[in-house]
Amino acid sequence: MDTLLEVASVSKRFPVAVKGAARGSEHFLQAVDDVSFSIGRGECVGLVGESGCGKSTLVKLITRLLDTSDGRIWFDGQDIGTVPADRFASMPQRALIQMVFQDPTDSLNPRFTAFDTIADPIRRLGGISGSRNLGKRVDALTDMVGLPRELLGRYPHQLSGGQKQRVGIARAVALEPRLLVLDEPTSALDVSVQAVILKLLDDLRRRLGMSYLFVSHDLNVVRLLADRVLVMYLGRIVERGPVSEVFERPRHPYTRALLSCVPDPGGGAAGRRIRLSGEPRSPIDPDPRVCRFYGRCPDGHDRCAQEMPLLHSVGLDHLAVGTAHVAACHLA
Amino acid sequence: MTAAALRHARYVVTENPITLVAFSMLVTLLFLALVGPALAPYDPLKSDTANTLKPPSARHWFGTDQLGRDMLSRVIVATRLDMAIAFSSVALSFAVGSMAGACAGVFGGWTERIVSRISDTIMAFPLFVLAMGIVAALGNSVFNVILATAIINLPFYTRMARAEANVRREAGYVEAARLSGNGTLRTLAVHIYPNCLPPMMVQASLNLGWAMLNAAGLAFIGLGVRPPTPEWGILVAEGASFILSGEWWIALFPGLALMLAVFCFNLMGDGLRDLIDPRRRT
Amino acid sequence: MTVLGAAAAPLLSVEGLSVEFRTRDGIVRALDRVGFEIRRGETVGVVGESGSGKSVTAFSIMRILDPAARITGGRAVFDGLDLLSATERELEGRRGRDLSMIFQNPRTALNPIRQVGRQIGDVLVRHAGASRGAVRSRAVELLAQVQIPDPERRYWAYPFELSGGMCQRVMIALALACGPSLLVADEPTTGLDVTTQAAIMDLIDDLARARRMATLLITHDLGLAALHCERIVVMHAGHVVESAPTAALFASPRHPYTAKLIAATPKPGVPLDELAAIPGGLPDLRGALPACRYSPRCERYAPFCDEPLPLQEPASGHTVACWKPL
Repeated sequence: MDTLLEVASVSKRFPVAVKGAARGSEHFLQAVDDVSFSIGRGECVGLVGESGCGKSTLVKLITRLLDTSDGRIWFDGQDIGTVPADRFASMPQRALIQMVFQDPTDSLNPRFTAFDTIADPIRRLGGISGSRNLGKRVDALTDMVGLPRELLGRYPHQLSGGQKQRVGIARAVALEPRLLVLDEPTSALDVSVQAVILKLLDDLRRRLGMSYLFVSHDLNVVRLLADRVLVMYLGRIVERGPVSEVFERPRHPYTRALLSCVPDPGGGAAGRRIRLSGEPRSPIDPDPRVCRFYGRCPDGHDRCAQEMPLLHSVGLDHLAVGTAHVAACHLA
Repeated sequence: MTAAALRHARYVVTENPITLVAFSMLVTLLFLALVGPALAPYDPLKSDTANTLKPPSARHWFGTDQLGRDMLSRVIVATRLDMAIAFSSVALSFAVGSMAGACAGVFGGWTERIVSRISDTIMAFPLFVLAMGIVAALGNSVFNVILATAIINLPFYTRMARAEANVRREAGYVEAARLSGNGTLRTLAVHIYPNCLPPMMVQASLNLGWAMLNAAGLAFIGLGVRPPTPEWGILVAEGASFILSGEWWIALFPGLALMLAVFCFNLMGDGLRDLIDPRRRT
Repeated sequence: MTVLGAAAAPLLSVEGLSVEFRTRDGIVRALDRVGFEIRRGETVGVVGESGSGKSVTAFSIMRILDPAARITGGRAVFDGLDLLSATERELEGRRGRDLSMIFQNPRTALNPIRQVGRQIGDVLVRHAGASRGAVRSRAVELLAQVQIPDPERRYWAYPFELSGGMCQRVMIALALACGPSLLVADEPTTGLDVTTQAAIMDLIDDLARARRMATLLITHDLGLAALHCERIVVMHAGHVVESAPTAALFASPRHPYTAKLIAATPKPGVPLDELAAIPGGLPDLRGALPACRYSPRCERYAPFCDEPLPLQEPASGHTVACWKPL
């Protein structure tokens, strides 16, 4: 499989102040811990996990809005992790990695019209000169995302949620990126609009040949679009593999619990729901030898507190290396 | 800024009678500031020794002062100077303060430390005393009054701008701007800064009242604008010595004008807030 | 799921509830003749998208609407008292004690500068007439009942020190402190993780069952309603379009909107191209509205749909407001 994005052992630590700690001691919040995965050309990879799992931070690292503490990021064969985040805007890869945001209201500048918002990346990086050419390009994008052209002159507060999200999508694909990160693109939208946006995203991916990193907490939505899925917990990837494999035969206890908690809108009888007790462990100065899920895990063992489990193959062996089903659990 | 905005503006102005009153007063003041000198019945500087200390009458609506100058004309002509000082100093303060504050809010680090310490230093002084000191040091001129007033009002703007910029720094559209290839400076100037301004407009309009009082106060104690230039503060100062002897009109009318102008600005502040952010209406 | 005799009188009976909002752009007719019933111990879900009026319904019942709102008609009879026409004194006697509410964003619904244990204590003092001494131990007891670990210590915590899930548990403790017979839950788990959501909903279910408490669950999540509610009321643009026992609603939805809503919700086994979208948008609730507010978006629209809506009952307990039910 032709790899577009390669993430190798990426970590991100934030220094934090801890109440009652010894003076001069340094403490770190481990937001992302030793994460490795890859995204192939034209592939859609889902990223699921709950709040505090580090997916927002990981997204910022991949889109180069934030610098890593450790690890490397390769995009299309080039190491993009070494350029600092605040100078990345001038790199040629900037146009090729874009993002669609979760909250359509928050992601549009309230003082920009829809036209201005879509035109901004083109003006900055699109290399199109002349207002007529710019206008034509914006019109083409507007048509592509199914937004009526007469809405281009409106401000965000005059647009509906679905319309705002389309503006955000048009802006994101304006530069024809190779990798598009979708950060919960439909979770702020009503279910009636969701289907349209999801179909639009699916259609655009095929048309423009993009790869997607689809971040969501809604597993039912991820199931619809993703080829492979990554499950994160407290900064680490705990399971990874083809989406049907992982969702039908989850091997990590957290994935199993997550799947069991998802309500089935078909009105089916409630399956056996795995109830997780307690709160997640603290992400501050975590013990590197203890499994992050230990304590909440319904199947804990002594070994789980002595040796951090690493991702190992749990699926059928004939699958190619990059797409293998792996899980980080001693019991899987 | 389209038909909808104008409609909203008209709604705000007409819905609350107080805002309407304030708005009309503002229009009157601006009108007087612009064309007042042409409308004044007499030359404000011309003395008429035959008619000194005359009480209000049909010929002199506001009476005359100790040099026989018509008070009405003096009050009207002073409008221009007072309004000019108020608007210029607030504009200067707003421009410099908001930019410094926004930079502090976005960049943090040393920029923020320097801007904050300067603001704190200014705020450590009783503001009027500081203004006195600046004018006394730099000399009596209208420009120095404007400068002094601008300086003492800086902290209000830097603080607000810093807070607003800090909040907006994390907004989705700012991240989107960076993804679109906007460098840090451009993101600040085009995306963050313009969005910080609306809440500060309200502060600015309230500030107009203070700026005017400040200038008048300085003139009252003999700093800044000097007689015979008509300025409400000076007029009140000149009239103050005559109150006890019964010539009340010399101090009263300029004082009233000052009061009404400040009152108008304060009411405008409320109206402006409604104009800009309807959700926060009380 | 309890089974109650058909003769049992409803605990809460809402009929003909109509609410208007006065805004600068005109009058918004947010609710139009909304009606439903809840029996003791029953869990009823009110499902709808944003703008459907479900939260307004809850706020109307609790009489905590925005000052710009006006209840223009209807009754909400709770245990013999019409909440919509009751005086503030009568309401104060009931709210917090016999009927209470939990809100969507738990962190903002709690007082940020008061310890959570004390907030529970306030409710106890106000409504249960508890003495100061007994209050603390009772509050700790309640915190333990909502499964907050280490309740003795957490009594002194401030909301910002607690996670979203914990804040919601505190809010549940607050609401249940005086043993109400009806709990109105307005999107209690929106914004929470799916595992936390499951835990919170299980908690509400367990407590409701133990105390024989009725629950009015307001949500946009059809799946959640399917799991936890015995009956579901579907709302669209201020109208109740369908109301049925859960199994019947999903097995045979009668209103086109309900069917579309079910078809538009992602579920396992259904691929993307089979996911339905609902064309059009919510109607503007300000101007002139057709009798059926869904008709502009409905594929089955026929001219007779403009007649005032009937309330049909194709099966026992299953009502639908449509001229051409499925």
